[in-house]
Amino acid sequence: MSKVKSDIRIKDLKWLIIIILITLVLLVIYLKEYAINAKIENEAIINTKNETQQASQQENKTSQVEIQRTDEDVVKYLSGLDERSRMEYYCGEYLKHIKYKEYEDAYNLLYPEFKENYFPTLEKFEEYVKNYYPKFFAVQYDDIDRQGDIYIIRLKIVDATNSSKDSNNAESSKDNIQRMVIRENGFNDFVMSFQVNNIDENNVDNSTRTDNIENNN
Amino acid sequence: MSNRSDFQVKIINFWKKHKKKIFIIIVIWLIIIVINQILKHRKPAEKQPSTTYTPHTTVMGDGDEEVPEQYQKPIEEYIDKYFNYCNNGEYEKAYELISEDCKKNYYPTLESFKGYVDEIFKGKKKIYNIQSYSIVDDKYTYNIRILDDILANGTSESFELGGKTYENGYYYYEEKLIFTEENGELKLSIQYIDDSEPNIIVEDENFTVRITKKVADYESETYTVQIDNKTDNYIVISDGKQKDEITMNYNGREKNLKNKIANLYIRPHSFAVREFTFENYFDEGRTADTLKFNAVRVLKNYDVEKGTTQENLDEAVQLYSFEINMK
Repeated sequence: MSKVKSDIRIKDLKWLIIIILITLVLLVIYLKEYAINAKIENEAIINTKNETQQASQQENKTSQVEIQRTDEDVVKYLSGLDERSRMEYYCGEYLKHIKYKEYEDAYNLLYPEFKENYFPTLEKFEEYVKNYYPKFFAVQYDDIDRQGDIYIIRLKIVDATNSSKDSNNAESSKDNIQRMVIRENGFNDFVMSFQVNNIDENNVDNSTRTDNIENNN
Repeated sequence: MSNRSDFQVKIINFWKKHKKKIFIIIVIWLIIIVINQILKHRKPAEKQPSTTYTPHTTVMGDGDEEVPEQYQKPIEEYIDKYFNYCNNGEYEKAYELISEDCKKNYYPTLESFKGYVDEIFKGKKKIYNIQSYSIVDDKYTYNIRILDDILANGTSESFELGGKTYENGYYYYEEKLIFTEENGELKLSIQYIDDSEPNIIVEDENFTVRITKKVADYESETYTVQIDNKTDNYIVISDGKQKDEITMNYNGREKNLKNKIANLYIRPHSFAVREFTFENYFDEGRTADTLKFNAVRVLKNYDVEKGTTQENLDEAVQLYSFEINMK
């Protein structure tokens, strides 16, 4: 009888061991998942902190108060916009970097081949931007054209100081017409380039640029 | 000790009795957990930005017609392959992708095709986009726009168009690509729709008209016409001295010649061959009804340099119009 009992125990112990092993494997999986999630959350907190620090620095610099949006918020916001509004948002992001003198951030938004062609270094880009854009400017969006998945948006860079002084004299306005070219890969995921103008001409007269043709059949 | 043994026996008996059930429950539980984990970590399908760009929805005809799904990707890949060969100057490979009928009619030699490609690409890297135009008679017509890489130049480059130089901006070249399916394979034609030999022969006492060939492309039809003069007089069909000398009626719509032809006069007992091109968009579905010579002049004398004069008309043997039924 005792031998029979012993056999039963040995046989059933195998099952118990299997179950214990499975449970252990499961536990390991869970712990691993937990560790990964914890790491991700940790990184997210660090990133958010950095962003917040950058934002507060920026706020200090510009004396502007802006609510820091997370990527998710931006994506959510953009998903509710039509394509023109999204393109305007992207242009706005680029111009905001210019306005706040975040040249590297603006530079990073540019299409790599465009950078190679026109601004191989950040310094060259910075030099151009400083010369081209007025110290204080506003933006007026004009027409938009789409070529496949590429958008061409025409906008007017309005020199805030100049136009207020010479509001009655259109001839002396230094407003610049600029085309911006954008390809959107996904929400808040885009590359762009822009019409590079001759700096000297900008200071003379830009009105002729509006005569350039956009397309032709 | 005895109690403990009993307890052990009870557990063992319970285990023995229910172990299969317990094992099944654990396995199911495990499966659920694994599936749960997989689903949890699978990224939700990313929402794509809304766009008005619908390359496989037709814009002509009734509009909003969709190219069948099984053709969409193959057509995209076909165009991409063709375009990249052109872009990279691999003329032979691009040439091989064009249907034999299209080659025969429009690009009989590789050199002629090379000339066509060079004229568009001008040795520069280009980009393109496509738009389905129409679906008629199982022909899938796409419009392709070819333009400079505007993302790489920001529309900053100057270009020439119509003899004028533009400081910056962009323009695009447009072409129609027509796809048909033959024996399960896609065939690409550039502009070309089809060709035929109508063999229409009509005559009167003065001349015989033979329409020997018709070539249709996306936006026009070209007819090869031979006219034999049976008389001792000059026969003038067209020399620009009369209005609407040659027209074609397409389902009630009168159309003038699209191409400029050399003065069409036929010397006595001679013949002349000309190509008449009329604008006729393939996807409009209009067919040719009647070819009209609206000012046939049978003249005793004709000055080929001056064209028809009032004196010629005053002395004309016959002045009339002539119609050819194209059906």
